[in-house]
Amino acid sequence: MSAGRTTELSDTELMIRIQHSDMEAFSLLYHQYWHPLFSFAHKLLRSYDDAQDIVQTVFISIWERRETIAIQQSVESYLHQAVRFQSLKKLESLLSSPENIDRIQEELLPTFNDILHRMQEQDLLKQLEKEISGLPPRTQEIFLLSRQYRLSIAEIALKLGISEQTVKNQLHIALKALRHSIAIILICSVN
Amino acid sequence: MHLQRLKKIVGNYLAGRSSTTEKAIIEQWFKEAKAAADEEADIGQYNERKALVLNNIKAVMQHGVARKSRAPELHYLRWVAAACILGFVVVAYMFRDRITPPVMYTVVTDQYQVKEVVLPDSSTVVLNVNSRLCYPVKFNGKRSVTLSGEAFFDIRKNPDARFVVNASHLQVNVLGTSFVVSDAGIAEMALVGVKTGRVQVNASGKQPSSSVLSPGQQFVFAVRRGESKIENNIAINTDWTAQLLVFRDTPLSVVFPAIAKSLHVRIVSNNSEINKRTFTGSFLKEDNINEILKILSLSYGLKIKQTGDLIEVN
Repeated sequence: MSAGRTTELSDTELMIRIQHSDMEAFSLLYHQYWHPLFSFAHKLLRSYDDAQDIVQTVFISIWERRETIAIQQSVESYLHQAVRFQSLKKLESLLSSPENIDRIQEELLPTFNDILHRMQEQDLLKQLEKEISGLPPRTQEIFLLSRQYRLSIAEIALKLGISEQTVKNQLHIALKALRHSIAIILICSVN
Repeated sequence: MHLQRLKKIVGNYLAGRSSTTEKAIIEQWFKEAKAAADEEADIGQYNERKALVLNNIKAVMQHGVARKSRAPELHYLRWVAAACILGFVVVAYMFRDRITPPVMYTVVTDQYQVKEVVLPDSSTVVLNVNSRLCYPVKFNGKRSVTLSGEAFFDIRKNPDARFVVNASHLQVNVLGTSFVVSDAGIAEMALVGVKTGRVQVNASGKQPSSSVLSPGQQFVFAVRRGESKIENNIAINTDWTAQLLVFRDTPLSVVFPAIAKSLHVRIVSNNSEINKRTFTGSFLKEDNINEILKILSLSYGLKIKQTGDLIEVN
């Protein structure tokens, strides 16, 4: 409904009008950003009530500081940054009250554990890539043909014009050099 | 990762002293939530909250604007007078609780009624039969109510103001959760059963005790012995909270006035034969007067005539 009108005014113009205490401009800004901000806060904290509080705090703070507010980046990223900050503060207060233990255990901790897990996995893959790039070029090539392109030893030998025994030897060297990283990745991906 | 680790990560991030990994975790959290939020289309699914929050904000805004828009050309003396009056009003307002005792509401249910009460903080309480709840018109800081009888509490979360139920033998402390308290004063047992969240119960026995309960746990206090125990895996019965009126072998001469009182109608029943018959059963909150009359007329073969809010039974 208000979308048609907001497009007429850029966010910066809205902010200038808000700085002059224009409540209508504030309302337009609110309607424009309610959904993305509320949805963002909800995905962060998994609670509609908390998301509601956060968006309210952010907008009230904008109105109260309208005369001194200085937005360096875009209004959109400023608002998102404000939601990020308020959500973190909310999370901190949730973590300090025993009342919320169940909610944290069931909904918030798994998210963070999942993130941590994926980050560790990525680190290992990166390390593996690094180790592969440290191998001699020929060994690297044969290893990648074998593992990444899934060519058989005979196919690699044919493609590179070398004997199958050479391919086997090279692969052996590569696996020996990488066995440590690969083992860790295997262990982690099983978990 | 466990709670303490997360707490440290969040604290470090807010204080700007995260390690690279800690920072990456928080930023990944932001990134994934943002991506998920971007995926979600706005089909007006949160419009109710949107309107509510805008109203709240506007209330704050107008308060601020009203203060600013006061005319500046008052005479010096008028300013002084205004400041004095304002000062007096502010002081009076600050000490209003000491000047006047808080105004209390009391809600009482008789032996047939179940009533739902909305507290000033929008928590809800369902009072079972023969119960009494006393609460202030407005909560100042601590939220405190007094209960005699049985009630189901669904308390709005507020970490800054704990909610306290004072009963005859028990005191229940929560921040925001739902639970049942049954402490009628004269009954042999006083109970607290937890449906969601955590609840702290203090019992005044020979040895005053304090326990923290989780969902599915029930605190049982044997009044005469002054002893308490905690039962686990209890299905907390809240079925009665959906009820409006409960009758057990109650003569219709009593049932009719009870219905009339709860549903704000007048019921006239002059046939003494009908009035002597008894009724056992309950009516739910969502039942309207027509459905209740239909149930009664079918049960007893009554002829019921309704004109406006006057109901005649034959």
